[in-house]
Amino acid sequence: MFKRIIYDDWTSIVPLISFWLTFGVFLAIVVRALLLKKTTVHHMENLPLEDGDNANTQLASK
Amino acid sequence: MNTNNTKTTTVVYDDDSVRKFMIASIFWGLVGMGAGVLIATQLNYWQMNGKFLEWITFGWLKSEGVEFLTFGRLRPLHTNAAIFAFVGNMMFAGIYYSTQRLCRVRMASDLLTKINLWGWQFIIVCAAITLPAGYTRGKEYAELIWPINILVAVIWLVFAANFFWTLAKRNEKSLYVGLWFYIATIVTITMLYVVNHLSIPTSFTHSYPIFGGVQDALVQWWYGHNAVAFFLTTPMLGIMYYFVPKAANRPVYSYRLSIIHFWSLVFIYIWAGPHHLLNTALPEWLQSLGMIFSLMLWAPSWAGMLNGLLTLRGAWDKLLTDPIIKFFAAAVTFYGMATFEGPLLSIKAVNALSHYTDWTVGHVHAGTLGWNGFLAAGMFYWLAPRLWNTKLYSTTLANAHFWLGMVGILLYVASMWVSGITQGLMLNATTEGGTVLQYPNFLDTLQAIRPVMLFRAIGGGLYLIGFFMLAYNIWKTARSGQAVNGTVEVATQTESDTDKRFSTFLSAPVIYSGLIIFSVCLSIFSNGALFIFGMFLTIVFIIVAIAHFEVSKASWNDWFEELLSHSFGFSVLTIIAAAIGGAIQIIPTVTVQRADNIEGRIQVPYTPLELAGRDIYVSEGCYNCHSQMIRTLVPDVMRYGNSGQGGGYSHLGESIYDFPYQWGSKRTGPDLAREGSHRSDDWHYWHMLNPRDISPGSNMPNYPWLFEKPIKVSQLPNKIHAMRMLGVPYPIDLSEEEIQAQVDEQAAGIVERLAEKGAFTEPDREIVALIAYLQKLGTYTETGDSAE
Repeated sequence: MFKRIIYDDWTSIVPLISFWLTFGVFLAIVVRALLLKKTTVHHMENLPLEDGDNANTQLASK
Repeated sequence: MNTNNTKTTTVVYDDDSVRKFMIASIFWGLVGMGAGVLIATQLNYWQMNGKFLEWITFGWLKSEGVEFLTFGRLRPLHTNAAIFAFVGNMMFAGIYYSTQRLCRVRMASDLLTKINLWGWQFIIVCAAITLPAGYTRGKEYAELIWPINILVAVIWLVFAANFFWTLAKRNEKSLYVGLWFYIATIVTITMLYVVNHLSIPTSFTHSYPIFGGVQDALVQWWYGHNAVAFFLTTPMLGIMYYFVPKAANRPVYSYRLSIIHFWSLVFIYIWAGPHHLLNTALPEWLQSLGMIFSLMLWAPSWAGMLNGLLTLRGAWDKLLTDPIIKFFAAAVTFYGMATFEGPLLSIKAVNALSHYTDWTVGHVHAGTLGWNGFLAAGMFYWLAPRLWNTKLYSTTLANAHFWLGMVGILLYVASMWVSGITQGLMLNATTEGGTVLQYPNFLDTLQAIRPVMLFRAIGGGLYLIGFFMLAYNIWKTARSGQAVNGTVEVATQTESDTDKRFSTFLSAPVIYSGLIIFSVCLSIFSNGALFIFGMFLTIVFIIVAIAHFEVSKASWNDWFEELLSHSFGFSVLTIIAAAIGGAIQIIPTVTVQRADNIEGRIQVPYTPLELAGRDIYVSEGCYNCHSQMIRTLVPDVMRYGNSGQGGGYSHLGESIYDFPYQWGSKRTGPDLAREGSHRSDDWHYWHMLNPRDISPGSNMPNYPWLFEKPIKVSQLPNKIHAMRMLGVPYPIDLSEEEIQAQVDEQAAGIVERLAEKGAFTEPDREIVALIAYLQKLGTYTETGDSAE
């Protein structure tokens, strides 16, 4: 196994690699989200509301 | 869903378990917050470590301190109760309630639900007994001893099995984003918990973690930070995405944004752990990764906050009257505030000031009290009337709770900001052109923050009173109604649908994803022929997948949709996203940063007596107030680096044999990395008996029981054997008699030196072992390769 790792430019390379890696993932997700069909979005976002038990009508008046 | 082959059936949800989890959360919340208020007072009044019992019993109980009530033992109880008991039970309540409704199916197994419910409460009771008794692993939020760790893992897997089984049986094909967050919680917590709790037991109540020194520090904060991420955040976000739309009676502001929020958060969060170790001996590249990913985390966190807040669009008028909307709006706002502050504190320059001070404590409590606590309150007030089919007992009381809690949080957080910044500035202040510390006495900085520390206790007290009001309100609500289980009429799967679901499980994207991951893993973790074979398989599978895709005329969108509608494929994707960061940080560190690779300073292993003393140090929770890490900062080196052997900042090798590492995360007292030989044996003797005799104004507890309890020498052979297994260079043939002889010889020397100064004790008392350990701190040798 190697015993010593010396890389003088880590301060510049680590941030850049981190950024591009994250940017790549982020870009892929954004593209994916934008490509969602409107009907799919409408169906998904309404899933929690489908049982109708939503508005806070069960608060006491006092 | 195939509507041609459907029939309807009535599903009765298991809301009984939701009720029980909710009640458990409220009960343990009160216990955890009560412990928090108690330990907050201990920081101002040392008498609260047990002496106060003498006052309230009018002298019937005589004590200078009670070992079960010290800050070091109760702080882990407070954190574990708040995280795993209060938020944990609230999380289960929210997940069980919403999963059943989002899947249109009852939980898969009532038996597994009951095991989950009662098993979790049993674990909490075990923790509440063992932590004050001093049984601990000595790692923050991972203190529970190994038998309880196994129990936690088993119960968590029971929960996971029940959850995924329910997903498999669901009557709604689509997986709502809230379920995504629950999946991320389950798979990631499993991974984090198992890795950070890998230990070698030495007895039924004691073990050593398999990682030591810098490795343990990295693994611990990979776990610790992501316990915040995946236990205190992702399940809360799932709950937010379900309950906030329901409370506002409108869908989430942007479902597209929720997708971006989820994947960005899961991918980025796991990398940020090293920001807890900035300016320490942790390799620089890891510190850089921790800082940068923390800053990038800002974006997804705020995406979630804005999505939650904007979901309330059109419902803002309800803020005036509806306490549920109030709690939700404030909770999401605190989420935004805490996730703004977190990245800020992760900037190395800011961290140099904030770390080890109350600023971090204030940040954490903005998250737990504001984000978790208020979300829990909003959810409970929303749930209670529905679970007992009645109206909430008192809206006025709920509103009063909100304002009392809000004032409590603001008092708490603001006082911690002032306290942290004040002490940080004082500790770092220099004079004489930067050559002399302006406040060389640590206690001067403690006295300066005492008044604001009192405000913390007051703020915490107000928040606790608010939760008592919640408990009363929920209790009265339950009494006024009748427990009911929700029902829904759903279209169920027919035989042909089930077949289709099975084929979805074996769909092309799922199979290719699995095969490619397998072959990549094969090449990564193998050498020689297997490595080449793994590479070859990877290329082949990718080519075949592309060819299949082209031939089948499918679209990427269809493939992705198919993958996302299947929980197995989705969970695999989530594991990959969450595991990448941890693997890249931990594998090189565990592989390279080992004692046999260290150049320069390397720690001298502890003698048997010192090892026993170290276990007492860990057991008493000294790490909750004392760090053992002189950071690479000039004020740190000036304050702590000039004592003991050598000098300067703490090097990586100086704690390489520490299982567990003891770098700490808070300095209520000074750093002890170079405590060895800094003071005399009798100084420590008198200091442990009554710290104020030696250090006037100290808030440290008295430790009279250390002068009475015997050292557990009989446990040392097993402990030394475990240490050898972990790579600490103890002699192979160290017999029990030799261990006893070494202990006796070193103890006799300490007792003799103490007696010369008028401090008398028996050689077999814990205080002797503790003194031996403290006098060893900071002892190292220089290896030949590149001694500095």
